Amino acid sequence: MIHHMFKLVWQRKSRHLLLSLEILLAFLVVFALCASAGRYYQLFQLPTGLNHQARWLVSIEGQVQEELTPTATAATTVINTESLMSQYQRALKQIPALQQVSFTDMPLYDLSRQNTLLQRADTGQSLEVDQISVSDDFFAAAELPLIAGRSFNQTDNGAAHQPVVIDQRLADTLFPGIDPIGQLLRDDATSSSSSYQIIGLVKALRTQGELMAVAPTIISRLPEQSVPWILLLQLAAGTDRAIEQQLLQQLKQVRSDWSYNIEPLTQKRQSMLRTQMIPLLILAVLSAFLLSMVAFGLFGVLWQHTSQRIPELGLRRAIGATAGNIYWQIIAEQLMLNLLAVSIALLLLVQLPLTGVLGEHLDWPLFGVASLGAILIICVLSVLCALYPAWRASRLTPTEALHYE
Amino acid sequence: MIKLSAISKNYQTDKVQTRALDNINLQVRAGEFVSIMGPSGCGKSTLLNIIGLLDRPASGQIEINGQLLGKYSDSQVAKLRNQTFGFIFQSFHLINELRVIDNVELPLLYRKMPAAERRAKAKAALEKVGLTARMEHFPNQLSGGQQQRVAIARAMVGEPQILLADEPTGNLDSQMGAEVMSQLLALNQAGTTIVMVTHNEQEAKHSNRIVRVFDGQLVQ
Ligand SMILES: Nc1ncnc2c1ncn2[C@@H]1O[C@H](COP(=O)(O)OP(=O)(O)O)[C@@H](O)[C@H]1O
Ligand SMILES: [Mg+2]
Repeated sequence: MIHHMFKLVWQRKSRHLLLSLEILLAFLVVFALCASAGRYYQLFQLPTGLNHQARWLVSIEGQVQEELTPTATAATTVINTESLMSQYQRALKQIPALQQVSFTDMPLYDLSRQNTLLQRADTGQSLEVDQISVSDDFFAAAELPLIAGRSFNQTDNGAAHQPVVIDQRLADTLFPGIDPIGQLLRDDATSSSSSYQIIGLVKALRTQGELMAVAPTIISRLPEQSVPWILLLQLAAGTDRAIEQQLLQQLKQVRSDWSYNIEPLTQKRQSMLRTQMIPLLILAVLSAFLLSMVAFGLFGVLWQHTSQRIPELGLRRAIGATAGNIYWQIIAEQLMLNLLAVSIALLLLVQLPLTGVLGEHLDWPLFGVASLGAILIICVLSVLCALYPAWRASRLTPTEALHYE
Repeated sequence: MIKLSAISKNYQTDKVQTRALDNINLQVRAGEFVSIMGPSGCGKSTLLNIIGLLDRPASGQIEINGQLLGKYSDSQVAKLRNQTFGFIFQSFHLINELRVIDNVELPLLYRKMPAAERRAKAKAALEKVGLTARMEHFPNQLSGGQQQRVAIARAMVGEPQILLADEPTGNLDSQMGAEVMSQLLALNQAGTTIVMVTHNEQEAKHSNRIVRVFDGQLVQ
């Protein structure tokens, strides 16, 4: 019977051409949606290197340009030689719930990122990397574990090469098969042509959060004398937002002329996730719109096709087909047509992972899952569209069907 | 073999009710060749369709092989259509997208039968109507007479007891009509019961018995 139906579908291919094309296009869009959703899921599973629970992010605004240069900083701290960073540390630690105070030059769970071009000192091989500078306490405050080497500490003061921690991706790309610890890197982008020595390795640090694609990242040490920009605070678990008032008070004790923006990291994460989901939502809305258009078209064409072949179906009834046979034949033929269209679409789509143009954004498992998902959605859709025409055709008596105009 | 008792059938179109059949009593014995004749619109096709279970009567009883047909389910009726009856229509009703051989196989698709056996039976049926050479053609590559012979092969492939033919030569010229008639006669000779609707007195003469219908009623 399947062979028989295949013959019929094949013989009517020209009549089915438009319908197949429509299915094919719908499949491509649904595939894109499934693949994007799958990609987001994959990214979501990867480590960010950040713990957002009971963490607060403080961004400081109002620093005047001169204060950002070390000389100016020295001038303003004539009376108090203690660095601003340790002043903040001391002030904030007055709060009992506060467990860690750390500094960075990059906001977390934020779209901004900083790039630089690094070179391997020995081979000159270069790589575009994400860059973030953090204070010594950052690793503890973010709960960012080192998988090799160590993080920054006082012994790094005055080191010949600036100490840096890199992520696994950078290690894999620039130092495949080599222990990266102790290796030297050069940054030609900066005028000073600074050189770095790798002292530690982390699995990943994705500053934009869960949905950020993995990028090679270098973490450098914030000099103790630098002007604070962003603080990452760890508070006791269960601390609520009422603490923010206290935090502000303590922060103002150090510099009351600067303004402080205090926000729980969990909240920043949530709004970041929402922002990152927007493209996916747009794609979903587009697909839903397209699918409903396709469904209407599909229904219309199926209605017309089944009407045209009612005499044939009447003949089938006359020679022994049950109403159920007719019903399932129409649905099975529709599924078959679907699979033909989908196979062609897959033949095109398989080029993506084969040629690797999308790299890790579309690997084989994701391709498989997205294909299955899209096949399922398209098949369900077209079967739904076939149900009513099939039911109507199967309900006619053989004589009605044979003489149908 | 077939016994119709007090069969009536109405058609309701808009507000007009047509009494297509009125109190028909008819018996067809095994091996008979019965011709149904009558003017156009008198209810011949309706009668044939009711005999072949393609349509249900408004009232009356049908007995097939001594079995009274009561509230038969769709699948039971389908099985009877498939195994007991073979149908031939004036307009052939072949499926144009299927090759001749596939058209002939069609009734066997609705039985549990291995593909090879189906094919062998279809070939044998085509051989009987002399169309082995046209097996791989499509219906529209054949003449009307040949198409009707394909339809005969299709009706006979399942070896039904009764062949029902509704004006089988109606769309054919006289020579092609004669070919088809000789096929039917041969089948009847081989034991198949045939009920045929026809307008042609010549053809009707070949049959054992002529049943005349006028305005939905049998006339003696
Ligand atoms: N499906 C139908 N709907 C309404 N009236 C019908 C239908 N089929 C047949 N009739 C009417 O029933 C009568 C008998 O029709 P039919 O059996 O086809 O006649 P015949 O085959 O003798 O020409 C005719 O008057 C015809 O108009
Ligand atoms: Mg008629």
